[in-house]
Amino acid sequence: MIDGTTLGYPVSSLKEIPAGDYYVQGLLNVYSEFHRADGHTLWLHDDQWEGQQFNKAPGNLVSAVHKVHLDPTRPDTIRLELARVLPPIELPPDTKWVKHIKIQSKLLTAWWGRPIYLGATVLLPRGYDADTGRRYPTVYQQGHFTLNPPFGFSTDSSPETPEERAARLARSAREPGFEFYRAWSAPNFPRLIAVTFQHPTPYFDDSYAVNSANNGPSGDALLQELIPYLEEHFRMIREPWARGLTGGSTGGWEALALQVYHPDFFGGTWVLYPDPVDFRNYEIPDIYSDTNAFVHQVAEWMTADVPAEREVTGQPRISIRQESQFEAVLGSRARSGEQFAIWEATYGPVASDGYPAELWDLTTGTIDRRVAEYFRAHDYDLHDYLERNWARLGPELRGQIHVFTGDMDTFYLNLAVYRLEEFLTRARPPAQAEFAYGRPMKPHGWQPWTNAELMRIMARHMERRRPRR
Amino acid sequence: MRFAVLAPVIAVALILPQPAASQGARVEIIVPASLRATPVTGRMYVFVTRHDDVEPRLQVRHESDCTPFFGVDVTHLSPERLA
Repeated sequence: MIDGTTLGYPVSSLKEIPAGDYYVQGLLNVYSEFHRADGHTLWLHDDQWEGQQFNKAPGNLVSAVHKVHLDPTRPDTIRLELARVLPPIELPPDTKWVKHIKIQSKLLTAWWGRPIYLGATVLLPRGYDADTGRRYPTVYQQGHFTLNPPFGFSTDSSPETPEERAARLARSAREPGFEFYRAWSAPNFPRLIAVTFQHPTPYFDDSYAVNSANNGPSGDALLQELIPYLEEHFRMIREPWARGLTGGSTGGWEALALQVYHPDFFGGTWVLYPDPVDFRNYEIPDIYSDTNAFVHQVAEWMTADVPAEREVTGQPRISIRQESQFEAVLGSRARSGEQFAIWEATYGPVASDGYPAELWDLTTGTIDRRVAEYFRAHDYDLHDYLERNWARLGPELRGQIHVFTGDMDTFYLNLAVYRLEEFLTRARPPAQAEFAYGRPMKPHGWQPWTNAELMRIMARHMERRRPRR
Repeated sequence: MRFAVLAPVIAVALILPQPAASQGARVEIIVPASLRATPVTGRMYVFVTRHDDVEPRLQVRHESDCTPFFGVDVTHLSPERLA
């Protein structure tokens, strides 16, 4: 039952809904029982290849939409019957250019105690079918779960309106998918294979591509199962110089993590507006020294809510307190399927109940310093990991790290990038890293080139590092 | 999915008077036995919106674009039993 005592978002309670006519609907996100290899029995949403979208997941139960009059002064009871099951995801068909792969992961199935699948969407170069003796370098684009082709590749020629074009260019130089298709298929374009992964976990649409206490051997599954499968079934060059990485946001963190954890496997990374790469700026909070994620002590008698998102003008949109409430309504025990929960599931320890330990209390914002220190001690603070291991990593990563972010990143992610840049600029042996910032007032999603230009840049980088035999 | 497709499923809600005024309105939810014969564990939500362009559940887009919604855990909820 949901009543005035049930937590809501953005309003905290049903009682805060003003009297009026509303459409209401009920939904049940169905959990499954997982007998995990570490001995914990957990109830979690088993992804149905929708990428952990609770409101679209196949098998979830929904009610009809009812029009009702709500009045906080009236003790009415509304009854909803969950009479409909959401249908399976419609899988896109393979085409001449785009192939879809889905395999069961032995490693992750053993970890979770239920069948777990990994996927990839593979974009082939011009002439792939005809030129059967040729092998190709591969660009791995990390990012959120999608069944769409890499880099927005699309043969749909619907044009942008002039207004859409102007708004897009104000944010980013990334081109529409049809423009990317035209470049990719043109005679003079570098011939690469481009790949995106699907690796949802019960905690998020994406595993963050690394091993973790809560998500198990997710990184191993990608490197030991999925990539070898792809390299066996597609004519990819199986050498580090021919494996390039890129991705934005979640995918930006992954593109950096995969490169620095596996410098002998990947040959260069183009990291776009990454999730925090230094946890002294976990968005804004410093999780090692701040005691509360919600409140900034401005002066003795003045406090301000710590923002979680902003407009490019600097105007905050929502606070960390609000975003925490959003996640608390979505799920208990780090089962929101959202950002704070997956960071905890990826970087943090398992709590005594088997679910991820919370970095901060979602109600009070109090930071658990032990959880923060676990993040750092287990190498998930990428700047800290690089600095501690630079003598070993530096020579291997020379010239391999390229980072790009807007100066007004929507989630304040540029702040951690500045810290990483500060280290890589002074690091010895030299990192020869590249950093570039979108200025002025560029938001999350900014990149300085079209995706086609990025492919040319990455192809040139790989060609320069191809061994001359 | 556009809400227009679903227009026929809009129903007049069954609103029952409740004797004691305490917390304002409340929402009771059941899973019909015809849909699922076994108990279900998960998270129950109710979405409230003024807009009918898409289903209410799809109006929880992300943390900064979100219609009011409410959530609670359910454990081993039997068919036809109130949640």
